[in-house]
Amino acid sequence: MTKLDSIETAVARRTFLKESAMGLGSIALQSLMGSEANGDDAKVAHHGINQGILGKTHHPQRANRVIFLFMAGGPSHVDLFDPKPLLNKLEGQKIPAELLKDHQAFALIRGTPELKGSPYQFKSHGESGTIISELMPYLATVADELTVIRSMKTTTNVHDPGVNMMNCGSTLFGRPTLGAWLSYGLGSENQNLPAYVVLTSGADDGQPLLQSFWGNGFLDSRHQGVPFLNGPDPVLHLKNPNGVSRSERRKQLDLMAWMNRQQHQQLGDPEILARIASYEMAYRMQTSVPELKSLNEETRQTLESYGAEPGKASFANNCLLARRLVERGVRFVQLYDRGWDSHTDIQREHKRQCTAADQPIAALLKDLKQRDLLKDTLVIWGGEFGRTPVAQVSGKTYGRDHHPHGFTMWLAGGGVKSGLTVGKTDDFGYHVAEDPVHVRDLHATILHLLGIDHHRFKYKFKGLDLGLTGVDPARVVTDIIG
Amino acid sequence: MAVKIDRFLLCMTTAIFVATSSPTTFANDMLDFNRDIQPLLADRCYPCHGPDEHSREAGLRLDRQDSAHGTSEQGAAIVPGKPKLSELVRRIHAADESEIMPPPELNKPLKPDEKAILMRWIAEGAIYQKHWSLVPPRRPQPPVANLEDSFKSPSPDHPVDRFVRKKWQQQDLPASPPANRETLIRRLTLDLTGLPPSPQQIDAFLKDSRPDAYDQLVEQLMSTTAYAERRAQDWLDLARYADTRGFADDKTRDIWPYRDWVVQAIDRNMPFDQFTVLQLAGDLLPNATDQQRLATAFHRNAPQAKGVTYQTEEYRIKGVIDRVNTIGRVWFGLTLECAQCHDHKFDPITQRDYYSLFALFNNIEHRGSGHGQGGPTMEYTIGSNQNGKSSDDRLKLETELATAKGLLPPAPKMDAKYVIGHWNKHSVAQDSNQYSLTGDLTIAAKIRTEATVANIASKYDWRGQQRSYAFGVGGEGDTGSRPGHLYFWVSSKTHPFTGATVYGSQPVNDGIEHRVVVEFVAGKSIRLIIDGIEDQAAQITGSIPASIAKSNRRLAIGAGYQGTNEPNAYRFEGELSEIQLSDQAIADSILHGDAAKRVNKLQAVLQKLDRQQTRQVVAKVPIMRERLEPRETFVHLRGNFLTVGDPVSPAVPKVFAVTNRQQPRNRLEFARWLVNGNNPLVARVVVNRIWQNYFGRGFVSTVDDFGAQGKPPTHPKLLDWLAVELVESGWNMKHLHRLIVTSATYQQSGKITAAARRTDPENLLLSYMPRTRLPAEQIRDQALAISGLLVHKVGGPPVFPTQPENYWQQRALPGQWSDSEGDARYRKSMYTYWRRMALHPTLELLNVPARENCVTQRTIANVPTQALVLMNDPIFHEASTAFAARLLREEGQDERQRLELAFRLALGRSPSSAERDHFSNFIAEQNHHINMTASNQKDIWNLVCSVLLNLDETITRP
Repeated sequence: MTKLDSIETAVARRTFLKESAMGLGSIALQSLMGSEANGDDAKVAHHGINQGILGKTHHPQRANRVIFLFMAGGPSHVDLFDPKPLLNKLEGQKIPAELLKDHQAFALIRGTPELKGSPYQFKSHGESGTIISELMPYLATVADELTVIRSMKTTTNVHDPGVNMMNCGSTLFGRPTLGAWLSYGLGSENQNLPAYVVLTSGADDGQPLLQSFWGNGFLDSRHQGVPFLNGPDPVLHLKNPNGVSRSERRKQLDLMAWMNRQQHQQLGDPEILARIASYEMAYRMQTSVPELKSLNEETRQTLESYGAEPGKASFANNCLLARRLVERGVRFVQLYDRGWDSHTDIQREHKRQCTAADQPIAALLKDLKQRDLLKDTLVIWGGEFGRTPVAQVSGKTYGRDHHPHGFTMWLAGGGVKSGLTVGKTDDFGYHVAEDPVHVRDLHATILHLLGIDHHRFKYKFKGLDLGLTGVDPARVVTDIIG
Repeated sequence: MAVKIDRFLLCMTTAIFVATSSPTTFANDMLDFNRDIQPLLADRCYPCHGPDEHSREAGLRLDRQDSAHGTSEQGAAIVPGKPKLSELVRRIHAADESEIMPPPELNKPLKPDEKAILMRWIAEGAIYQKHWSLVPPRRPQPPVANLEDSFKSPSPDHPVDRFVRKKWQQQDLPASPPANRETLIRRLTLDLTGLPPSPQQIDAFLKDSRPDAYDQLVEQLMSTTAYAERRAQDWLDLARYADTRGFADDKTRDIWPYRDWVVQAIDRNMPFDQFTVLQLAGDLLPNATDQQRLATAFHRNAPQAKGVTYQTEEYRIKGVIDRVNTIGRVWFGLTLECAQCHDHKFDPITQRDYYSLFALFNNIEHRGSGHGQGGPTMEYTIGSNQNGKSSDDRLKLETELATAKGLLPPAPKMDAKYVIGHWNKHSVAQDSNQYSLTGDLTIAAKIRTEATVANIASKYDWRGQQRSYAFGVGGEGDTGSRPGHLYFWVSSKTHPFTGATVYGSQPVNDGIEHRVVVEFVAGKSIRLIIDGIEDQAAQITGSIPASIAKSNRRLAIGAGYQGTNEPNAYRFEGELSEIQLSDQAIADSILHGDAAKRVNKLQAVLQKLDRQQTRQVVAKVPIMRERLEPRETFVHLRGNFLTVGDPVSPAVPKVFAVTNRQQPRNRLEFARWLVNGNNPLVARVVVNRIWQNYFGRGFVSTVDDFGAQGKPPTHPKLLDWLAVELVESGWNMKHLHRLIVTSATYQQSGKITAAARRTDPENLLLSYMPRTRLPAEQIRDQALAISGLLVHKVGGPPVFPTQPENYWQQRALPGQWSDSEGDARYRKSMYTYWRRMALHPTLELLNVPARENCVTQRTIANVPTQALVLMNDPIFHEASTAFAARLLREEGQDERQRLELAFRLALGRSPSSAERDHFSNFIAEQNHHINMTASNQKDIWNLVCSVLLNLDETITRP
């Protein structure tokens, strides 16, 4: 091969890699060139993995992976993080009219509701004096790790469009979720596990979890989140059928690989090599996933700190699993905890949720820190919106309705400041009063922490450059970056 | 001086351009505005200097030549031929952040080679062209391309190949040899029917030495219902068909009869124009039939929110928006949705255009009896008799009738010596004296329609008091006429009516081809003939006139009059050809005569039986039904439905230059306008998508963006040739599919050539046949077919093949899946219950789309979770078990023969000797471990079969 030829090939290869719609196959082409030269197929398996489109990030990463603790249904900010003495004082009065100006209808409340204060005690915690209510005593012990944002805003008060907004930056269905964007941009660091894993827990009567919540939208479907099921098989069809042993499977795979390589030699289609790589990874997942899912190797102390019990489906187990996943290089782990949608008896329901979630969350943060993982793992806590500072009365009890105009989320680790509280809602906890942080701003900030400039991270689709952030303005919240 | 520099620039830019050109552009060509310039301008400049007037800066438009070449304070943005004097050139090179274009905040700086291209274009004269896709296609002459013998084309003059080969020549790409015959039949059968060929089919094809064996195979496969099912699958992606209504509650929606309608329409090769009109506006056709109304479920497939938290009006609007965007993607190939909030930034679609289209689809009731899920529905019924016995009788009679008809020779045709007028499509005579018959006459025609009212021939305008004679279907919807049945009117006076009306006794609008005839014998008789058999039960009213009045209306073929001089009513929708007119009574020469006696008798019995039949409602299908009072439609400022702007009335986008008088007033007129053959986009978009289905990529790879930001076509002339051919064939879809699969291009080998890898790594020029992984449905269906488990049953309510126990519960979803029993578990995958928010996991993992909105391209991944499905999913395990049992059953003890059959079933070919050795070793090793009992043999062959079902070769269309 002359030098010119090799340059040409390299250019062609690069064009192919960049423009080919074949996805994985195009990456495998690189290996194909190599394997033709030296007959080394072992490299194929290595190159078959998802390496991420960005290659190099736009700027140095502060966070390398993300755990998103999604409190599905919407937790109540005025009962957890945002105390409002005036609201307590004026409890029982009709909501002031000025709060309802330019305001879409409540989701479920009809008529003019009454203000409802919080029955819970709030205290300052840690050196930072971060304010947390008595519903979350464990979290209070790691208060100095948190950056609390009390001025979140979103665009809708309906659940599924709200989850879409929080995940995709749009209320519409069919857009890629945050995890899919990160898998697309940054790829996977583990050959034996997916880049994007979803764990679910919580109340059975909570809002349903839709497939689109971990969807890849218009991105290649290998960026879709893989939901780990709470049944015997965390990943569907992980186990061999009855009667097929692991050694038999190995022999089957060897025969398949031989056949597939024959086919590749005949036709030269790089997609075939990617197929071989996929099958090999599937074979490895058959051991790596059960190993990951098994909590038996965790010490009793660790299990107790989380409140986890091997074999049981719970938020606590999922928090521990999340640590095990990020430890193994999984890029994005999203935990959905269902049951926060407290319309009828918030005191009972939020108590139930906090009891289940508080201890494991605190344990997760401590565990990550102790293993030196917190510094580059971004932990996000929040729901699709907050809950109204007015009551939704239901007989003798009361609940709170969906509230998109001002609510609280917190971040920890992954390059954000610790022990900080930013933003303010008004005296009623109703509208944002200072330093609004829209979900779009949060997205820009998350991407920034992961080394990505949200303006430059786009995918051409239907003639538009679409990204996690879009036409509407989004800014990186620099105040919270450490 | 300037000249010198310009030349220098020109040289430089040429050099750079050569280095960056793709196989579809050539360095020695002039730059092409559409291909080379517009994409750059659109991406970098149009956001502020494009069609959107609200975001336009400095009053400058770079999408229009007049503005770009015009002068302003700073001088002209572009001075043709003078890059140095052009402000644009200065600004793209400016060092100052406040001057440089595009502005830094756009985050899309021009690369040096892109600047060079712009300069070269200006040097060449900065010629603008209308965007290619908005210029109506004209049929180009297929080029002559000599490619020596390296390409042994089975049909050297195939127009598709002539265009494709020309490109290879230009690039010095060698041709690929044709694929071998085993590959060919496997490729073709998988593509056309979605199933693999059986060993018997393969043998028959390999033995078939006729020169047109391949063409015969194409015809045979296209005539199967499996062909229609496979095509329907692609259409259902576009139609966003699913069995649930989406959003959080995601409950069942009874819309499967629409899915079956699509299969039937394609099975009958319904022309695409009719297919379009029925789905967009079948309900608005006069006297619409149930089938026509059912077709309109197309636009009720969109997800619909239910529940009190969804604001009713907001979510109703989302539904209308989905309709408009779907029209944009399926027919226009334009990203109309961009104009929902503002004028389109790249294409000449204004926000007003968007809401003018919106107005057409805004008139459907939204709320009905079920809150949020309302809207019009129709009762879908199937015929049944009160006692099951008589339905068996009917089936028997139908079979007998079909047999009797089958025994008849083809219906005789009119002898040419009697014919005084002959037409093959809709026409109007030159003047009213022509064909102004007054005595005997015979009219014959070949028809295929589903319309209730459709004129075949008319010189008759009763509103205009110009009666003469008229023949067709449905009697112009007149009282007393029979929708979908033949009619003939004749009068001896133009006014008032003095004559006879005849109505046929059998419907002819069943979408099946019929030869229909009317014979008028002055003063004596009128006879209707369908497929060579006289309709003896036809009903004649009035007295048969001795002569026919002369009207001043011209003879209209395929249309009629409604008080106007132009025949613009009662248009014949469907296929209409071989219309013949004779001035003599010659029915006897085109009748079957005595041969038809048995048919006549059976028909009479059947009619009697049908009168006793009852209908049973099986589904309430959401459909379109127009409100009596249309809603007012306004522009929604920034897309927000709460802030309305100017009112708008229905209209098509201005770019299509439709005069006010021709503006469609409703969906029906819009649908007809869409497929009248004059729209520059529709046929191209359809052709492009069909091409994509075979080659994995359209000529325009952005299949739903033919606008300025879309990719230019790889083969613009071939695309146009096919688009014109499609329209001129009467939108004959089978014709289009046939053209593609009979081309040598389609029949090439799939081996990637060294030359292609070097010069055309993306295979844009198709110098080899690209392999494509099978769609999810076909992977599962094929496994079922290979193993013998597949149940061939067409249509009906969705089925529930086994899914992992408590899968929905584990996924935190409401509802209870209960597995279907028996055969229903082995139906084709397209009949699987399609739950938008939780697809059947087997199909989901293999990449079926949720169809939350219109899907024009599927993404196909290659990931480990799919390997787990094919190896471990119970349905694939069941398939390999049944596959193994089939081998043991059909081939006894002989391992060699078993392997032979196994390969032929799964791969459509025999094993090579090396493959034989490898499989034999595998089997021997297994035998070594376990005793050779019968059940162990099953286990071992199960492992073998599972390997075969998992091969890349198996799950790939070769």
